[in-house]
Amino acid sequence: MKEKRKREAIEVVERLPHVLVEDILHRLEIKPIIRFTCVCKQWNSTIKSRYFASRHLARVKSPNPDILLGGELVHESKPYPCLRTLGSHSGSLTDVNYLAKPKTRSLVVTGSCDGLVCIYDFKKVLYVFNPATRWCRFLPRAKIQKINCVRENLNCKSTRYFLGFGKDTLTSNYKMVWLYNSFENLDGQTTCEVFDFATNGWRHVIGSRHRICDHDFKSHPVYSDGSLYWLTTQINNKETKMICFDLHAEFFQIMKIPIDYAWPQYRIIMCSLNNRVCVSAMKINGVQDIWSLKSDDMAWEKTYSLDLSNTAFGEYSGVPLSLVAIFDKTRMLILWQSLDKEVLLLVEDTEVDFIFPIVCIPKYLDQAISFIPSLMTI
Amino acid sequence: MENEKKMITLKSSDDVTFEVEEAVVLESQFLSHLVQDCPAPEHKIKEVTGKILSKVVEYCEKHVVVVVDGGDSSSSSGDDLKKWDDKFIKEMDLSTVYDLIAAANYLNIQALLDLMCQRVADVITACKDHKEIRETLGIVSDYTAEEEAEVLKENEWAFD
Repeated sequence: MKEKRKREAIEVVERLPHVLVEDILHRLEIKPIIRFTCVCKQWNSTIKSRYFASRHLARVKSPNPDILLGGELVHESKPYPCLRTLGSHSGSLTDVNYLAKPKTRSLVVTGSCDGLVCIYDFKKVLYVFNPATRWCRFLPRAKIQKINCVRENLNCKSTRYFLGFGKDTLTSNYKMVWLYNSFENLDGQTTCEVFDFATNGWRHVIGSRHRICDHDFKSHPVYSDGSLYWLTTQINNKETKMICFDLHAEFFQIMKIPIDYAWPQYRIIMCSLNNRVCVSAMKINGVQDIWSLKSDDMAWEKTYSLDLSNTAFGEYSGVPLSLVAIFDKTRMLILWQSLDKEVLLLVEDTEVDFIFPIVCIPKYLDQAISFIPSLMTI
Repeated sequence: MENEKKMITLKSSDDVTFEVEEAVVLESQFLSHLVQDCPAPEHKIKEVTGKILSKVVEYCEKHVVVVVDGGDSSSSSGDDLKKWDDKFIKEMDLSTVYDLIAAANYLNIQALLDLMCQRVADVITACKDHKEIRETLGIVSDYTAEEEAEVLKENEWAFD
């Protein structure tokens, strides 16, 4: 029996052209592919190529993303960062920590693009990470991180502007963008740093003329289809608008959002759902409305409305719930944090208007990012 | 007249002949071009043996019948077809699967190629480690012992 199997086996490699074996491998999920890299060197280098990763990503069948959870675990009174993934099929939590002995705390995770995220703090650490394969590349610090170090030494508070990460869809080059309100000029202007992975360096581009929202929470830039988005600040009674940065042309545009002028900033969030940028506002009656931006005519469309008024998850602080991902077209995954309880991932069924908890995760995991498992590296 | 279907004869590399309706041949992009360009009653396919061509014909006949009968291919006929596909693969050894992949690729029958590639993918997924994959697919490792230990350590998490 074994003899027969062996004979069959030798035939396959001789009979099937490389391209057809690749076609077979594209159908595998990440774990079996990683096991395949250990089979021989030739397949290891094929699978690790950018070309193979792109083709594999283009083939992904499941429309449901996995979830990366990040936070800070306090152990023996020392906090240290922690990363876990939540599989969309298995529903099980897996540790994916890259840093064995992290020297820093307060790690922040950007939104994902092609299965990659950037992980950083505000002073020293910055790397790009693939949570599916645990591949990682450390990157040079941005100027804003160095400024924050200097400010800390001068006993000034360090700033907490969040990093943006996305892809120039015309050239398929990934970029990071760090946009922050300029320190020198209080009346406007922002400073914008862009990181090119090809040159491994940061450079300055002309910033937006509109200052951005620098609320400590919920003001992460959002990536969608070749552009990054930020919300502008409401300081000086300005209306909240959205800034859009085209990652290819590298310029900013300002656009309106469909939310009333009167809404306080903390009631407004941005997110990305179904590859569209969305804005969402929590109204006083406990209803959270969600609009998404149609890419064909750049018009806002009201896509969902979550009635939280009769649930325990609504108006406890007026802050909108964090919207993580859409599952099975009608179910929305929401991260809900309470002050005294564990964090819950909830599903809102947008068709039957129903919210129920699906996973209870430890409280220290307070960031949830959806990503498509991929083999991508940069 | 209408019911009289045009028949075409396919001849394998080892001279086994199959008489099939024209509609069956149209499942293959390669053959439909061949039939259009060269309206001979018999076509020799040098790259495919009789054993494999019989499987190809069996697959195409099944799929063409379901599409014609089902009209707008209702869901029940879709389910039946899936069941038939499952049974079709189950009875097949891997060696035949590899030959069918090569044949489906040559004859350009995408659905059959998909079905067979997925079957091999499932076999690979079921392998618990690199040694089992090597044995199943007949790949000879070119790693040195040290290199292999290193690559295994790096990807340890994928083997639980």
